[in-house]
Amino acid sequence: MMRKHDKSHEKGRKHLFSPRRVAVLGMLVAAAFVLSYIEMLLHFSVGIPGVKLGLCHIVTLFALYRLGPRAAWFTGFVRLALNTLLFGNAMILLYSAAGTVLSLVVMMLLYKSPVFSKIGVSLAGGVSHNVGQIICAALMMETPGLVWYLPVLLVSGCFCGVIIGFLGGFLVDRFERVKLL
Amino acid sequence: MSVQKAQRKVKAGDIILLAVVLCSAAVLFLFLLLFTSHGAEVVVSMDGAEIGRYALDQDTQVTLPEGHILVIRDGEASVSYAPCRDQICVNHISISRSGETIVCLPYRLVITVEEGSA
Repeated sequence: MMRKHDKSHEKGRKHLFSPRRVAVLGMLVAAAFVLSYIEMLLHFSVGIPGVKLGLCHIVTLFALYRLGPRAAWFTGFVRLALNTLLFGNAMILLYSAAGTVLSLVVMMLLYKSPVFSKIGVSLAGGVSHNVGQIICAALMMETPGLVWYLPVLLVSGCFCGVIIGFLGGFLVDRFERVKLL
Repeated sequence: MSVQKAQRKVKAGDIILLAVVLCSAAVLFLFLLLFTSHGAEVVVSMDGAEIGRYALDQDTQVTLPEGHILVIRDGEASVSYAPCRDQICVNHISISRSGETIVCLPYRLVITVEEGSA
């Protein structure tokens, strides 16, 4: 399986859902799903809603760097749908979707930039995820008081993003020479 | 070896981004702390409609329509029971500064501290 670094995601555009791609994406979704579940089991609370590690974003980061933005969107949304079906409700779907969309947009814009490493991209993703959630919740609840959460969520987004970026970046590097597609 | 390798790959943009976000968080926090004061009462609303108003200086315990229990003690408000599964509002820290809010998303319940007219 050790081959030269593949340019697979350029080639993959022609056949978006080749059997191999379906298998790889399925594996990534499964991994993201399991990580969400593990995180739920390790549940901890600091008294501010929305502060969590976001282990499943390791997979998003991996998909983004190895398979391109489309795969990242795909794994992100399938995981979101699965999580909602099993553990969540409609309201939680709405605001976690807002966070996921904003973080994916930001990460997609930054990941090609030479200025940021995977850690920086993940940091931006973590922060924008939390900001997206808060904006969505503030709009839905019509409660400007939620701005109180922002400082905490900015800091937690930073630190969780750095941890996830470190873990995800490590995985991307480790799998660098493994042919995925 | 791989840890050192990863550390070497941190780029200037990452550090700047981290600094900018942390600074803005600090500024925002200081701003909120300076421009808000200890509130006088808590306002409870559900689905956008106000359903109750309680003074913060009187220790009390109120059962809200959906079963949530609101506790006011030592000038701080908190929720001690919620009928939902995620328990976010129960785990929430106590609130006392005006503008601070506890939200229960599944029931669209909002508990906010206000200056009050008294």
